[in-house]
Amino acid sequence: MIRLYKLLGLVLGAVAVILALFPFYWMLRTAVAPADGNALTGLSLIPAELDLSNFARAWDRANLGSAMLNGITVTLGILLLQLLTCIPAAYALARFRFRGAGVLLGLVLACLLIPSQATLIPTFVGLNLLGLGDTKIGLVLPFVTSAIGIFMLRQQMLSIPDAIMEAARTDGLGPLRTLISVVVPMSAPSIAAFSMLSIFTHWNDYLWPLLVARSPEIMTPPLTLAIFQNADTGFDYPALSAAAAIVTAPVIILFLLAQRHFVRGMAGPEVAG
Amino acid sequence: MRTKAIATASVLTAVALGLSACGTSTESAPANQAAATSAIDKCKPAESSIKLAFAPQGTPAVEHAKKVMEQKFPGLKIDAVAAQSGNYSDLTKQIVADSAVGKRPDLIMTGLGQLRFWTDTFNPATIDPATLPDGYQKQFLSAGKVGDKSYLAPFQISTPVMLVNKTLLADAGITDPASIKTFGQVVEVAKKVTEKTGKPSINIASDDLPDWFSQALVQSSGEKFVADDGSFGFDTPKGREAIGLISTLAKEKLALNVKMDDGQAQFVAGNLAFQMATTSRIAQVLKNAPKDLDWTPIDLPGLNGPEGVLPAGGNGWVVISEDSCKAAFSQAMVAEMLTKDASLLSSGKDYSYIPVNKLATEELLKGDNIAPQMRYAWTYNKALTVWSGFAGAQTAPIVDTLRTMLQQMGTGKSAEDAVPAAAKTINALLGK
Amino acid sequence: MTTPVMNERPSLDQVVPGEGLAPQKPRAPKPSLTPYLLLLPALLAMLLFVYGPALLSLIGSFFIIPLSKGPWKFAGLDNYESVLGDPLIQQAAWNTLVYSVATIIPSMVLGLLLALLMERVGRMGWLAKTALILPMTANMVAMAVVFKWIFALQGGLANQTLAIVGLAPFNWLEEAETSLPTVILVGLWRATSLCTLLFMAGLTTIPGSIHEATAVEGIRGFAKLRTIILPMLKPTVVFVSVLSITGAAQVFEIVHVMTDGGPLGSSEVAMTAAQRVGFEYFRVGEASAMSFTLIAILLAIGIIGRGRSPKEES
Repeated sequence: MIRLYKLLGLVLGAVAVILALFPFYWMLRTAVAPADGNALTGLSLIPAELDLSNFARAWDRANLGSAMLNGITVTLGILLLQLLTCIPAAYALARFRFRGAGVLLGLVLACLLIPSQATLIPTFVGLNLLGLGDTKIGLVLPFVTSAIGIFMLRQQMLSIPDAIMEAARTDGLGPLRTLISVVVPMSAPSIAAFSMLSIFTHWNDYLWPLLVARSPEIMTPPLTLAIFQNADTGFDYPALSAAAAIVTAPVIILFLLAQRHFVRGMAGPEVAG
Repeated sequence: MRTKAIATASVLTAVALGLSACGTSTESAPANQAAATSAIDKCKPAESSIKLAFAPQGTPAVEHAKKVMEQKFPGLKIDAVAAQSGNYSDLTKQIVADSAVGKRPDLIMTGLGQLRFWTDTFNPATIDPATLPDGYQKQFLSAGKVGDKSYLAPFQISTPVMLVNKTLLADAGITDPASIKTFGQVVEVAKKVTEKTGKPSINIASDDLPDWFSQALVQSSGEKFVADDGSFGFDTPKGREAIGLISTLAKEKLALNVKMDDGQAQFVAGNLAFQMATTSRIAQVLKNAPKDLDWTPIDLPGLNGPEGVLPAGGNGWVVISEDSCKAAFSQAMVAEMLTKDASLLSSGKDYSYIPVNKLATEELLKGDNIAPQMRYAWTYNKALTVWSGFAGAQTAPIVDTLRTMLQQMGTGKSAEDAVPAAAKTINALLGK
Repeated sequence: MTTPVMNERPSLDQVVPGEGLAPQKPRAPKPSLTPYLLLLPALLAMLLFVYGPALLSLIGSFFIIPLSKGPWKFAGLDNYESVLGDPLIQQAAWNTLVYSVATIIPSMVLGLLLALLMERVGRMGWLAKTALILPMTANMVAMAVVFKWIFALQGGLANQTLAIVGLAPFNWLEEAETSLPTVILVGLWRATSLCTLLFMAGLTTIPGSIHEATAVEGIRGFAKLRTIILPMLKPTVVFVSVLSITGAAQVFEIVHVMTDGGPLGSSEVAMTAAQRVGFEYFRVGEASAMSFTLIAILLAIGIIGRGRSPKEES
């Protein structure tokens, strides 16, 4: 009986891994297909020939070099600001008692339930009134804080043992020093995990940049995929795949590098062990 | 803290109401009025600038015209950056969004099907045919007219066409594809091919350009797409019979029923006898098709043979400037984008649009080894009607209604049911 | 620098999301401005970029807003009426519900199973774990395009595979019967990955001593899962539910790229409908009304969920 379960588990795991990876493989598979426009019809699982020219074509046509740089600037800009706003907020909500704490926490959590599409148009109009449409600042600004970030970090900070906080106080550390030299280091796993989550989200964000970015100098990577679609002249599938692979690569590499920390950090408390 | 929160909330509300009040007070009667075009010699180029909005397929011609304009009018600034997407509805979305926040372009490219959207919501300037360059084929201006006024200068245009696979047709006993003139023949031949191959043999895509494709089928059969009073035109016995082709093909299991791109891939792979397309796709099919694929474009058949004028496809330029000098410079820029040189760039080998300048056509035809398929695209010189032509700002919901109509027939629903339903919805949208 | 030492496990209720302040919080000596100052930047940002625009949107939902400039016309509840009365939008609401139920429950079950499985894999386990989490890092626009080819009628991999088994090809994305299920499969691919990650993370919080203790007492298999693991994972389950529900209700890119809601509205969901009405038909007021109806539903779910989740244990 137990053997049967083990076997079932093994099969389930193997199937899940294959299904999870397959679309990525297929993206690469299409990207190395010959660029004769027949990418859709009957590709074999294993390519008979490799045509790497699609990558070069995609890179040039979509101006991916500049888009990738923009993506990095915008993603890191957002991350930095989010950390600057979320860490103190989480600290306040985790380690202080004050009037209105419950209401404010509710206010933060309710943000999770407001779809970004509902705020899209007014934010867009407002930013343009300030002259920030079609700028990198406009791409960053609406995301300066993150409800999920505050939530995750607060969970971690709640778990810091009181004794340690007490020790900090006896050492004469003020709230800010305590935050910087005690709370932040002890929340490192959650901070790392949230950072990854933020990077994934904003590197891949589509709807907001689609609305804000106009000039080629401002384009972020996902937007560049649109250039391969044209109703009059048709799609360029292999180049589109190649571009998609290039756009996807950086986050995957980052993820592979930081994978262990990410999983542990997502857990929040009790990770040091 | 609570008082603070209340204070913040009230400030926000005030801002909100202020914003809406702004909306109500600043603009009174004629919203969106584009300026009348002033005489260009009264305008100082160094003090003016024009902003263009266009899709990437226009880029080579735009860049060429920009250089010419900057020489002709020293100091004139031309802000011409292509939109990212080549899709006309995306382009419209972008222009509307830009205009809503005060960044209205002066000169826009638009899909010909959206002409009425612009004329009915943005009051564009009229195009003066006298300003258009030598060789411009003025018969195409009909695709940019509302009533007898020209609001749009056709730029990269195309026409509906049927692409056929000669090998598959020959197997079915048809040696002269051009002899296929009626919908009845199309069905008959498609049946023969499907009997041989066991696969669907024809694709008429319903999702990419549903308004244009249904208009083509209806007009090719000699019926009106839009009635004289502006209402839905083809809820007539002949109209329903014509568009009923889709339903017949579905019921007989002859239709592939996929998007135009996917159908094109099947056509190129030699699996499809008929692919309804636009002439602007010919260049791409030629590029992608293997050498041994024997194919040709034929005139779109009609119910009883081709008997009407086809709708123009593609795009053109509309001047929506709010400043009279900018409108004048925009107008001059349009002329530069329609010259022989510009037309070679916008319609030549890479795109297979119909060159709007016949000097460009002549030049193209001088080349060696011109594929007969390209020749078909380049030499099309019959008159074309406007694309769609329903009035008002309801272009997008009308297109969606027609897509629904085609898709219903694509699942075998009869035209007798699908067409009246579409007519009712569209007439309601139009207030007819 | 204090070395991070963690020798205490937080009591369960400290970790429960949506929970108020935990009982053994250090008491601040006297009321001070510090916490407010610490919260200020984040709250200001939320007011400016979430609550402010949401409020504007709410106001807008009572008006007919012209295409570019021009006066707003007060419309009362007309926008809500036309939105709620539109059969296509009703269909979108129904589809969103179907999509949510069909992705959330299976993805949570599968995610938990896979996470439990990954606990047992040995040395090479990190490879499998990485593979399972990879889908949540992907760009959904790019992946939706890939899935579109996989489900293409002719030459698509799904149909080629079916052909091996001798099944006739499906027109997955362009038939009203299969378009929504196909989109759901892709949503499931993504959601399972997120759930697996969160459950894997949740499982690492269960200390080894618990496993030892249960082993000694001979509790294993489903009994262990039901009586020990699941109760300890409760905070994770709540967190996963919140993220899954909001994610599913707001699904956009997958549908937009793969079917754009078609054919015949068979795969239209709330957000694709809202963006169609708002950005294609340019009926901004109606789009706002739709967004608001969705917010109201999500908030209601959130409040019900919050009322149920905490304190049950104590």
